[in-house]
This record gives sequence, structure tokens and C-alpha cells, in this order.
Amino acid sequence: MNLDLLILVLVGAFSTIITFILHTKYRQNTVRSSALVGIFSCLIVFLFSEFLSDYLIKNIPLIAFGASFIGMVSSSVVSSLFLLGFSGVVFTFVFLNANSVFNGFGGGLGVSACISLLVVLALPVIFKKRTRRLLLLRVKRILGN
Amino acid sequence: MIKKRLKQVTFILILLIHISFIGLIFFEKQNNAALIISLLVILFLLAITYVKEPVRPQHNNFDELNTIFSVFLGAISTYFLHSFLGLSTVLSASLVGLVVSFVPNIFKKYGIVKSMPAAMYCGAFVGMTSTAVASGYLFILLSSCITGLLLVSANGVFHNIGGKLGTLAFGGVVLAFLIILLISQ
Repeated sequence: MNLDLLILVLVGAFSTIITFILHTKYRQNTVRSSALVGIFSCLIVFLFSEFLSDYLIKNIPLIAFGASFIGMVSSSVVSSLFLLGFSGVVFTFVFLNANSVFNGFGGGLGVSACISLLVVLALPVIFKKRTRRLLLLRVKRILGN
Repeated sequence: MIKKRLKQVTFILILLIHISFIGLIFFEKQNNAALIISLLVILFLLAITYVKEPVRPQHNNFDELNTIFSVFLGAISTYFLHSFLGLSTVLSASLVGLVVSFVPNIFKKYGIVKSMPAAMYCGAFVGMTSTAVASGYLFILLSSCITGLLLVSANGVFHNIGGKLGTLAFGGVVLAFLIILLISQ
């Protein structure tokens, strides 16, 4: 994995978590939290443009802003910061691959964000079922012995 | 009854947007085996969430005309900021979002402005459309109207899910693009 990609993945994960913390812990509304992350990412790129490659200058604001949409999710839907961070990573993956397909269409970031969040929401469902199955198997084995 | 059907239609529309989005990535990157496998996993997980996530009927917070107007206002200001003032699309949409997020705090007495930030932020995503796709203000007007209608009908669908506003904005932009393409032919 090259360094640029690693930086983008981290930006995706942290933007999601920061937005979520801003609106749940610091009680800012969701729109303000996401907008602040967007502005802050632009500011960072502007300040450190000399140290960043063109690829990062182009993609950091887009990924930070897009990932911030995931962080707008309600704490009643997701409360795990780990899941949110992972959702940001999935977003980076989806966005970087879909970039050329819907280039220039407004809302493309939102679609990628929504898909990433929905994908991660399925994980607790799968793992719950799997854990249940494993527990049942263990009980059956114990009873069998 | 009609509202419930409308919500179901919007749910299906959101589902179609997601599937076509992934489908187009499939189509473009069909030579990349690792990516295809990853996309299949994503589709499988999406299907699980769709089944788990029902269409939740909710009290309607959005007033139709106000929502459409707010979406248009958000779209036109963002489009103006990035196409005329030369700001980046992200900065334009963020600035519009930040400014509008203070509106309910300033006009506390008016209940009507409570849903304004979400609607205007949704419009800001419409306004992020590049000038190569959006031929002018007429395109922004049409896509804002479609997005506004989608936003009203989607109230309660995928409630509190991040990225919903962007998905609806994307739906509005794509539909407006297709309508203009059909008319011009």
C-alpha cells in the first residue's frame, strides 16, 4: 500500500469519527459538524500544499467531506466508533473506484457515503448470527458428550 | 396510504441508485478481479441491510414548497460560489452548510426554519455538480425541484442514515441530466 493511499484511508476514517463526535458529544447539529470538517480539510490542504502531492491535494478535501456525511448518522443507528471508522475506510475504497464513473455529478460523494454506511451496518447482524450459531454448536457438543 | 406508497417508491429509487452506482463500477472495472470480488461482498452486505432496514413511516417534517425552495437556494448558492467565484466544490458546499446551520439558532421563533439546514445542505450537494454536467442555472433549477420532491417523499425512509441527502441529490441530478438529454434529442 503506498503512502498516499494510506493517508487517504486515515483521512476517511478520522473525518467520519470527528463529525460523529462533533454532533454527539459537542452537541453541534449534523449539518454544522459536516460543514466544519469540510472547511477544515480545505484549510489543511491550503496550509500544507507544499508538502502534499497533487493526488492528495485533489482527494483529501473530497474524501474528508464525503466521509463526514457518514458521521452525520444518528447515535441510535451506530454508536461504535470502530464501526464508523471502518465505514470511513470503506467509503475511501468506494469513492476512489467510483471517482471516474460519476465525475462531476453532484451527490456522488453522498451515494458512496450511504453505501459505505449501509455495508458496515450489516456487519453486526452477520456477527450476531454467527456468534449465536457458534454458541448453539458448543451447547450441542457439551450436551452430546 | 398514498404517503406510504410514495415512501416505498422512494425507498426503491434509493435502492436503484445504489445498485446502479455499484453496477457502473462493475462495468468500468470488469478486468480487476479483486475489485469485482470486493464489490460482490459490498452488494451482499447491502442486501442484508436493505432487508433489515424497513420503510419507517414517520411524521412529515418537510413542507413541500419550503423544502423545494430551500434545496434550490442551497444549490444555487453553492453553484455560484464554485462556478463564478472559483472556490472548490467542497469549500462552497461546506460554507453554505456552515452558514445555514446557524439559521435555526438565529430565528428560534419560526418553526418553519427548523428543517431548512438539511434541505439547503441537500441542495448544496446538487450545486456541487460541475459546469461540464450542469449546463446552467436551468439545470440547477430542474435538479433542485426533483431533489426537493425526492426529499419530501423520502421523509422517514433511511431515517438518520448518513449520506441519504447526498443520495437524493445524486438522484435529482441524474434524473435532470436524463430529462435534458431526452429533450435535447
